[in-house]
Amino acid sequence: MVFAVEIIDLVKFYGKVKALDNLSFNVREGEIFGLVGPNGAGKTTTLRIIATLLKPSSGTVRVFGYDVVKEAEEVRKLISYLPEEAGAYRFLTGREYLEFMAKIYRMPSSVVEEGIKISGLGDAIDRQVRTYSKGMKRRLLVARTLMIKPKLAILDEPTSGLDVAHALYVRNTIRKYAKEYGVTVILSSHNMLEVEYLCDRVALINKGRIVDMGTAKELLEKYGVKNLEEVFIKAIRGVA
Amino acid sequence: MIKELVIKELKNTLRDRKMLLSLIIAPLLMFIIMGGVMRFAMAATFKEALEKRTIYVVNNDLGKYSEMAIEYIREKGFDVKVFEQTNTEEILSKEEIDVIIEFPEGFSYNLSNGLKAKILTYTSIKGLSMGGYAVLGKVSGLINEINTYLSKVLVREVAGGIDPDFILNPVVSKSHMYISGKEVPETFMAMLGFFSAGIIVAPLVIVTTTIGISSSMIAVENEERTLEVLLTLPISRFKILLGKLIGVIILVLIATLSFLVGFMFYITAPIAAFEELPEVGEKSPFEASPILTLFDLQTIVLTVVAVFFTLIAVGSLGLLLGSIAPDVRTAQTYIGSLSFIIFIPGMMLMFMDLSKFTLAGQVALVALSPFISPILVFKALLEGVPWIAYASLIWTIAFTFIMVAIAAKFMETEKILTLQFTLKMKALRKKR
Repeated sequence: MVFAVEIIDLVKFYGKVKALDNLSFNVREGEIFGLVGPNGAGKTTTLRIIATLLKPSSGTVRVFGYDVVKEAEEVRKLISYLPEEAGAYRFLTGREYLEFMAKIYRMPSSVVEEGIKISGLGDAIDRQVRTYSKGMKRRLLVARTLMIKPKLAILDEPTSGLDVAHALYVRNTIRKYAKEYGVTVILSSHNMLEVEYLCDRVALINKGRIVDMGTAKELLEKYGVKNLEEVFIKAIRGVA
Repeated sequence: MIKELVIKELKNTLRDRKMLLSLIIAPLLMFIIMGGVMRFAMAATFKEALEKRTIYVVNNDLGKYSEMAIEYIREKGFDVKVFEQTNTEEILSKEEIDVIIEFPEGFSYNLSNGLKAKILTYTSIKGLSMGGYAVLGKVSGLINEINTYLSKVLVREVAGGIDPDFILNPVVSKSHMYISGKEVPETFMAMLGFFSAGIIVAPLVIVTTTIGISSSMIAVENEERTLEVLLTLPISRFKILLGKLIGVIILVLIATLSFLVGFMFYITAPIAAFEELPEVGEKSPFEASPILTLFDLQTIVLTVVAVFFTLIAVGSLGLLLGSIAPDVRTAQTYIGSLSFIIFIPGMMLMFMDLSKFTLAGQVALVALSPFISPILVFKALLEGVPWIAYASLIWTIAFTFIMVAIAAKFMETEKILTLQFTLKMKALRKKR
């Protein structure tokens, strides 16, 4: 079976600091997979390696069977990455930004219209990005990531900086794209509610290691608690 | 795909008012304003030099030759006011008088007896402007004319029928000026200073502008946090580099055009100032000379090749420097500290011929030539030292390929994202 993402014994050093410590997990095609953990746990590093931005110190990472180091260009054709603190080109309009991305992915112009719809920016789409609020910018970036219907969407804190209503809208959009278009999603989040609502499976990550993994329901039952926050606390203390 | 990247670069850069100001408007305005001021000041200076004004004369001699000299000044068209037997300094203290010519007692006696006579000039300069110096120049010119006039009078008195002009100027000179074996008009000398400055300054500005733009182009990706997404797009890193380099070259061409328009206005300011004077009636010393006919096809072609490769080399270097800067301001700081590599040899070339450098100096110039190649190639061919031109060109082309390869390799690695973090950590460790 070919996994959407296959990670085997992944280790990553930044100088002498070990950011990832023998990390292993798989993401199945079509599922929404969540990485949950505190700051510095290794979530962003993991996502950056899958997105071909960083290279593993050791271990293997494959996306739909393609090695992220040896076949990075093939991997890039399948993925769409949304970094946590991403920006867009300030002096392009929202529409021009989406058009640029569509052309790079060799997509028809209908994709841009879809992106505009996802962003919910309305008339503001023809304003330069520098005039956007943080939330508007984030919505544009989410739209950019999903409009091309990638095989794998890599989303680092997708709702960061969004208000409640827009965060909910983005979550529903992610879910829609996963279910209707078969987009596999791997995301990271601090927001346990978001993870519980969105993800088919969740991996709890701490100090570069997977502490536990399963569906939200399985984890809640395993730890006998009511929410994922409590699961996480118990998991890192090693109390099952 | 590259086309999309280039269009994106151009739109995102040219719509930035700060970039537009520093790339296009500032060089244009700077030269137009400087040229305008220079034109105004020079026109005023020329006018002052040509103006027929009142000449104040103190005649404490009251002899034959002083009277003849005063009459001569009148004949030159000046309004002359004569004070006799007066203390000159007292007159000079009056505000409206700035120039006095004094014929001291014994002036005519000396000339009559074959002794040198003195003329005293008093000039009161109100400010340290060019206009003040013009007054000095005019007085000194007038004294020279009086000198020549009196010489002729004395020659006539002593040597009767002989033409005094022959005695005073028995030799007439005619000069021929050659540059690289081609004769140029004498008036070219007046333009040469401006021209050599332009030949050196223009490429220096273009090179520094290129590094500035290219480093900003990548630093802005860091600053605006767009680099991470760019690097995950299905487009090769080499194409990203190429897109940026082409964008840089187009922007540099636009900036160069703006610079050249401004610079042409600046260097033609003296010509314009001279032409503004209707009563001159003589040829401008700044007449535009057939400068371009001086250079053969080889010089022009090789210089253009040097410009092209230098732009790519420094563009790649700028991209590398920009990629380790967290923001545009830091990138500009890096560039600032690099500019001495460009300006020091550039300035040396402005003042020195290549033949004046020792062999080691010439080799050092060739080694630095990727930054100054257009100047060096042009100058070497013009001054008849072709080996420097060829060596510079070969090294610049090699350096260009090395820089592009390094930049492409660097973009392939994760260092483009992690190097800033590593540098920051090293700086923190040092502080501790």
